[in-house]
Amino acid sequence: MINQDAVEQGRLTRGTAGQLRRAPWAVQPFLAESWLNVLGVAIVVLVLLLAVFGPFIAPQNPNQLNLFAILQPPSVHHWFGTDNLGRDIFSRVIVGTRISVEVAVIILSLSVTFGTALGIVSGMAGGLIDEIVMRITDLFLAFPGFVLAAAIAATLGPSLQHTVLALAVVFWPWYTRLIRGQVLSLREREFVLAARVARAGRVWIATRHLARNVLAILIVQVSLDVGYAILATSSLSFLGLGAQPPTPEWGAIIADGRNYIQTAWWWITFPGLVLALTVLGFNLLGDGLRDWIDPRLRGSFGGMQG
Amino acid sequence: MTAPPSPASEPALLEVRDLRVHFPITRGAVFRRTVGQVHAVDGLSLKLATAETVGLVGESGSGKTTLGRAIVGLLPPTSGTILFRGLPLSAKRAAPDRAGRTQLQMVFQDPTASLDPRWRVGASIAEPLRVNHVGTRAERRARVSELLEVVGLSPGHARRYPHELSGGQRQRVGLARALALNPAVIVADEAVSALDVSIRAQVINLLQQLQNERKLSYLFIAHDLAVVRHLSDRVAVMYLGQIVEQAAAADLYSDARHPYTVSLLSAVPVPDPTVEAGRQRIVLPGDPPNPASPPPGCRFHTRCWLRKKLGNPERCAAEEPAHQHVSAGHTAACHYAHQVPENVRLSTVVPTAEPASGPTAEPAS
Amino acid sequence: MSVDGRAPTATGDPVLRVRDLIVRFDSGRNVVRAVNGVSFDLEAGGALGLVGESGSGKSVTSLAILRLLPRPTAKIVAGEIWLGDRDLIQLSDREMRRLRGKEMSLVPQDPLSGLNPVLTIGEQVVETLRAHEDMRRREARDRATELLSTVGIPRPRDQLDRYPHQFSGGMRQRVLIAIALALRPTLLIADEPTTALDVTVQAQVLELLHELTAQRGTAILLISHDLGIMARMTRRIMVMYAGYVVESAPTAEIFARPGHPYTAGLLRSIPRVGDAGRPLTPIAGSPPEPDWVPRGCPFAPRCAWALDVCWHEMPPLEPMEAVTFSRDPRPGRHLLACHNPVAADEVEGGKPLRPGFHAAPPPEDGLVPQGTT
Repeated sequence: MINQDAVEQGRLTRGTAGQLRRAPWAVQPFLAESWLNVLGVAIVVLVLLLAVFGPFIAPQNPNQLNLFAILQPPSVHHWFGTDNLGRDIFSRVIVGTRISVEVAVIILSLSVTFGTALGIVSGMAGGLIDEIVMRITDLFLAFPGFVLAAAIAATLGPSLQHTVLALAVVFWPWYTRLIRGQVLSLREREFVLAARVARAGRVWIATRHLARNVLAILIVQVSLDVGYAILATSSLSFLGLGAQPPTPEWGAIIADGRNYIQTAWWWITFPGLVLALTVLGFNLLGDGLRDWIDPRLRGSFGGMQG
Repeated sequence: MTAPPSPASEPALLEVRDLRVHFPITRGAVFRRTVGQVHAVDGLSLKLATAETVGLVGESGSGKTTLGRAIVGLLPPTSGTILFRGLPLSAKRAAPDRAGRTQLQMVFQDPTASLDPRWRVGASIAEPLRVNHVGTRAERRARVSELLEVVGLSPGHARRYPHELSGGQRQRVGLARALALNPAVIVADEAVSALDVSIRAQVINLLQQLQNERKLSYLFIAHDLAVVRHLSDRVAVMYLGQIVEQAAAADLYSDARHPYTVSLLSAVPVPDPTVEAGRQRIVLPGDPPNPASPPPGCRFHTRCWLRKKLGNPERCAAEEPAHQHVSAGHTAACHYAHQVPENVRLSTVVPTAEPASGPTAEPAS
Repeated sequence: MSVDGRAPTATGDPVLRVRDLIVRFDSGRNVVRAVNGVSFDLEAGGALGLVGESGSGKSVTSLAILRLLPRPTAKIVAGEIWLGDRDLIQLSDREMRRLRGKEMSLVPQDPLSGLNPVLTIGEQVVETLRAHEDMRRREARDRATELLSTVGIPRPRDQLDRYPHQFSGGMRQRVLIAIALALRPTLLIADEPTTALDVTVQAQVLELLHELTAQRGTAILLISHDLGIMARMTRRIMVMYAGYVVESAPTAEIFARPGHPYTAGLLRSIPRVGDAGRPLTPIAGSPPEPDWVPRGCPFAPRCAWALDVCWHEMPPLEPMEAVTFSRDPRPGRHLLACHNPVAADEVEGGKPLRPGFHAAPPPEDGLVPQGTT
């Protein structure tokens, strides 16, 4: 029918060119959405680059003592000044970037994988299994996160590895709960029912349907949590429970400098700023992603047509 | 409740016998206890023959969606049996049953929700084939193209995502998926209700065409009486989990014998102002009762206009009515089915093929 | 019913006059031309229906009248909306708040979201009453009880203290009607008031609306996609497509003698309870995307009567020639926006009957969209 083809033609033309039809991974429209997104992406990209290349581009050896240049204010030689052992703070901060990012990646890998898998299983299984998992999750969530992490790290013995473990233990329940909630609502969606009518098993549904549909919300949550993971690691290191000297982790650097606030303000200020900026960058990215993904799912005008 | 007698003597393709589906109502967060049951489907018997369309109408709480889902295996029956080609279908996903189950497929109401938004449309259509290990990848791809053409789309659509298609196109995709395993029965659960009016006719025509070509049977569940009339050979009216009247479509719409059916028909708006002005309307009081606590005796008695008219006989509240024989293939579960006044029946129901009884409009040429 | 653009008839001044209303939605990513130059009158006590599918602009029109369009995406770009002697577009938010509920009110589609779940029914009715009239609490409660009983809610005094979730959908819709009519507005806008309800409940609610508006002389603007409801509740119908009014006529005429191919197509594609398997003639294609800008008539891609001119020029809304209709005592004009209307003998078949006629194909450069403005 010629008229139907004509409509089809219009749809095809529009489909490939129109913005409404862009794939979710298109970067350009995301950046165009808001300058905050640009800022977030810029900071995150910078942090990641530093994490990868940091140790190579750091101007000086972060652990190099120089007792002739202790407590120097920021200068051309030492952009962030030096600490009480003459070490270049700038170099330490840069190397610390890699540590922070590595740590965050490990923490989140562990907690997200475990938490998500548990959430999917719990949501799909329902019944007693669901109840048990939820009560355990509640138990973990009942403890203030930081206190729990500190307790675990202290018990196991202060070290960066133990911090990672402790934080993974704190983070996983959030993912379980989040994903379980998603699974509960997705389970009743008609495309899952259709798969069941086609005799698909629970494993098929979980891996092929549920996993992909929770991905979007997972990405948003992860990008927000990276910032928190970094912050938490630094906090634990600040308390002495995390990175041990001479590891140039940001929190540890700040901890060392806290007695010198009045005499060497640069010691805690610059690492603190870098930490704050990093967390900000990941937060902006996460927020931007959340806003980007949500309206796309609902349609540009939230159903305000006709 | 006795099963209504069936018109055909040969074994039906699909038969439901005294089906009950009850959902427990639980209270308590930590220790759940069951405080009651929702009697979604409560003693229902139905038959469906090859290449036949049975329409199932009812309002919310009638249990029609539950029935549809129980038939395709999404919900386990609490009691009763579902027979396909004479063999019982078990609710468990045990292997020996497979040949039976896959012949029963479903088309859902919401075309958007019935397709995984992250899957390409072709993958959704191929899913039943993949899950049941049918064909090689190349064969499946060919089959998907074939199915797309059958439902009036082009094979190129397989690569699109659901959000790139219109509502009507998505529903066609849902239909293509339901056809993938060459089913004998398709349960259409409000399959056209969520579509725009101008698209509905396209999909309705498509359903009819497919039925003629493939000898498909449909269980067409809907609340829209006009659409059901158009598509169905036989119609069953559900109220609170039971069938209250069953008949050939023409009979049901022109000779309704159950007071609920009569009021249902009188409530349907007809797109013809002269007919609308002349109709007698029977408005039911109150709301449909709670399926968790159905009234004793006849479930409809609390709202029944006929009962009121007959002076509130006790029988209605005390005894569940059995299906009364009205004519060949037509039964109604009402103690007083034969006392539905003829003038009421005729004036509430629109007679077939009425001439333009209103003023005629002649263009002055 | 007074005719668009003309002086009002003797039956009453128009309560609502809409002139050349244009509404755009601008999300930054694209622009949707939701309403494109809609004009109509609604007389006091009249009943006008707006019929259309998704994207037709019928709901947006009603929201524009109530000035409830979402900000900042939606904007009334042009036009006038006269309620009595006031142009609603010129009024401030504050002035609109005073009018809403009192002079004109809305019965929304979804009874669930139309009511505040954390307030009792009584509180919501009382709130409406006291927002506009100086009333003591006790007096307002008495009025509320009275209103609830008017809409057929049993034991109204007890129900005042119950919450929306404790009521069924039909009851909730009655409460919404009660709230809408509480202050005796001159205009009631009902946007798909029964779509979410069961058929038997729908009959109850429509019956109620019909009775109450007739009793109180409230003009009603009914919006729906259901022509069956229109046949019952309205005296005049406007058919909308892609933001344009394509046909406007007294109800009986729309059904007996539609002029626009879309209207005729709709009528032929709807199954009817009374018809024994008469074949349906669907309308080809699907309703257009919201951001599509047509060059000519928006219905051209789906129209079996399309001429070449239809692809290039939007037909104006004009009186349809020589249609006589004997039953309706009031002289109602039949307006149509079409270059090639449906002839009387073509209404039944739903297709053009002219020998050798084929719908004009789209122009050679294809249906490329005009861009997003």
